[in-house]
Amino acid sequence: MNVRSLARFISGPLRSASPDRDGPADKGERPGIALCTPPTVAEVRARELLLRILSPAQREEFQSHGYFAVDVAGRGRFCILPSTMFNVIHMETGDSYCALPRAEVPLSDLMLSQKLLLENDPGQFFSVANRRREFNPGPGDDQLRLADVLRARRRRPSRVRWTAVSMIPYDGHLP
Amino acid sequence: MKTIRILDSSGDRVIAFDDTDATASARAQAQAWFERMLAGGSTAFKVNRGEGKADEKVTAFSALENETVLVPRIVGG
Repeated sequence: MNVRSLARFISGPLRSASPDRDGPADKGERPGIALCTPPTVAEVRARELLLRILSPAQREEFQSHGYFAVDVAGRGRFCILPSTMFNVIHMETGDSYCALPRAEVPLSDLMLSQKLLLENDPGQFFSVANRRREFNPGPGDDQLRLADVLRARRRRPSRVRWTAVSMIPYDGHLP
Repeated sequence: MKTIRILDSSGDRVIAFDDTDATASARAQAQAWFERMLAGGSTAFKVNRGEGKADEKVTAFSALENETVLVPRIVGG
């Protein structure tokens, strides 16, 4: 078998399995991505744990929108988005916060960590979290606003320019 | 049976134990992990407590209930 026939042998079944092939059904959600990046065993396991620990209202919200809200004593309502950076959003101020476990964990474990800390030990979360402005607060539908945030993040290019990378280490990476 | 779930790259690592002699080794291992991780900045929470009880932060091994989640030390991202 030469290289060309080997390529045809491999690409044929992949093309027929691609969501692109069947038309518009998947066009809104970057077709092909699901085929290339199935959830890992760790992510499936972490998601099961998250779903078990969420309150019924949070579980319903997570299953229908992909994010959920937590009430933080003395600070208000925060939304935890399925994203690894600046994914905790204060709906009243439009600020987003970023604090995550130092160890590498699946996304659902990250969201679970943030939920547990915000609900039970918010002081620890806010003492280390970095903050930035995500949107200007004001009247409007919170769900639409969060959908806009998620859509904007999906549009971001996957490649990072070297000018966008901070060269200043922070103590989390120091031994 | 009590379980401690340590969040890690595999999802979570589970250590199960109870107060009987049969699981003395697992209990000692769980206590060692619990104390070492808390000393390193991790935080533990009692979860799925039943009877509508809310999750709660816990710092003493003797106060653990049925299920505990150990969150590794968090840092600003």
